[in-house]
Amino acid sequence: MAAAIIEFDNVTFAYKGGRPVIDRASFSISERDQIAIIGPNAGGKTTLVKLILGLLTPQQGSIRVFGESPAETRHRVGYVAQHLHFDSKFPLLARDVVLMGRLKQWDFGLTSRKDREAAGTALEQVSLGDCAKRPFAELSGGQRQRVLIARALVSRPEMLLLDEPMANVDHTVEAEFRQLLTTLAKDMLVLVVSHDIGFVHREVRHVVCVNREVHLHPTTALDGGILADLFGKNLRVVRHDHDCPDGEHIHHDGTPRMQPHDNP
Amino acid sequence: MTTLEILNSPFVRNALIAALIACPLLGVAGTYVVMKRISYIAGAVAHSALGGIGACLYAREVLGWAWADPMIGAIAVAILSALVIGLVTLGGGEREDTVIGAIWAVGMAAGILFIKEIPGQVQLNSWLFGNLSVVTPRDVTLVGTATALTGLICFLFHRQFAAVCFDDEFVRVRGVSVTFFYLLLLCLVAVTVVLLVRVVGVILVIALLTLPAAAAATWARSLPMVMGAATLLCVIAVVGGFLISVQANLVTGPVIILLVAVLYLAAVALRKGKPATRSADG
Repeated sequence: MAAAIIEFDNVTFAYKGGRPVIDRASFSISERDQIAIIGPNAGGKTTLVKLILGLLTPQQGSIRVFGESPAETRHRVGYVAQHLHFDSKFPLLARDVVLMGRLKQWDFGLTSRKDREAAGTALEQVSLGDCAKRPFAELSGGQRQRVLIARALVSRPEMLLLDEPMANVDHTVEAEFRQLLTTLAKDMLVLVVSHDIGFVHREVRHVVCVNREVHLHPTTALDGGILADLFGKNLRVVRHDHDCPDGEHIHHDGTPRMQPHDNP
Repeated sequence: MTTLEILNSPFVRNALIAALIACPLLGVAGTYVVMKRISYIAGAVAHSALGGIGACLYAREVLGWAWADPMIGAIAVAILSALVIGLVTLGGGEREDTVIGAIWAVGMAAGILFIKEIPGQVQLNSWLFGNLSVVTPRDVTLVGTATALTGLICFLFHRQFAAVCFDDEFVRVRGVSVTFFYLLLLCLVAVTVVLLVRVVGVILVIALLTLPAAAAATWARSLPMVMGAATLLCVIAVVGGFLISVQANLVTGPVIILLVAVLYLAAVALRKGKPATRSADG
């Protein structure tokens, strides 16, 4: 069996003085694949991401990423955060943002030609090759999110970790996004955090369910029972298959695809 | 006296040269301050520097320590304040705005006490609002040296500084020390704000740091453009302020500050006149 890419062994984490946010989590991911991390809001998804990145240290248990401690291997992970608290007028070109993905502690002065070429390649990977010299602040939400993915890709990571990548993206470009992530998942492990069960599409074969407890399920096993355990409610799961003809189901922009049963 | 005669006075000339040398640094450091939204930190650091100025003046005038230079005292206290504020804001434990306000006031209180205890002609006002007639060639050398050093550091680490200002969480994930570069950036800001204390004083300098960069950021598309334009606006404000104040027989520091405020308002007004670019949420 291949060595595990991510291995959690009985991991418990609580923020200072609080209840455990992640409770005795044990799971292991050993294949390059596209995996969704799902769970309700405030269920611990972002905490799980920060544990994988080694930005947080568990009180109990051990975490190995690529067989080492997460802080050691953080540079092998491409990370796209949920929120970017940047000044909306921050004067940076798209290429400058991508180049941050190559930044090292002791890089001096101007960027190298190699770095600039890598940034160009990464932008092409996300189909923004012609936007390199456009101001980041002038791009649309979807374009910005792709620039941030390019920033994560430019360091040639072995794992891509995206926290709620659809949150700031128009639903019309979602399909494009799934396509991009599916393509990327051929070369690396792609972990996508989502509170939206609708994200779990055909190309996602495993799902990590997080609600204090953490469980890894094959997507095929995902049924009402598991989801009810996860979200604590009886859920109506909306099947989300993009091969179905137009008009057969309706997408409401902004509404969750996952709603509690209206029936008593 | 004609304008030319006044500009020929060695003190005024020293002051003008020192101010012009500091302009590029104000443009660069001011851009980071505006982008990182830490102008209140820069304000606290500048005001607290009065403590160092007062202590050094007292040591020199009353205790007779000839080596105690108020500018050195200002730089030392400003860096100390910057480090304390930086560590508090990074730690996130204390209420950072309270700490910033306290350092702001405590530094000034100490400075005022020291300066008021000095017998004779030491004028508090000239340190608060600037006074051209106290700028010595030694000050010019000091400003030049500090500008060269900080300019070099800015050039070497401009990518780290920009990244820390833009998205510090990502910088941390890249394994780059946010603590180190944030504190280094605050030290650069500290040195920058005290360089022009002789010319514009500890209270007014904050406007000369932030307004040119804020004006430039209304239209510039990249960081180097903002920095360049901010430097240029700074030069215009300094030279214009000198000429106007000398002509009209006014205090130079406040005239420079009002001029830079006019430039900022003009930039904002011109921006308003243009069709808006795509909004932040695209």
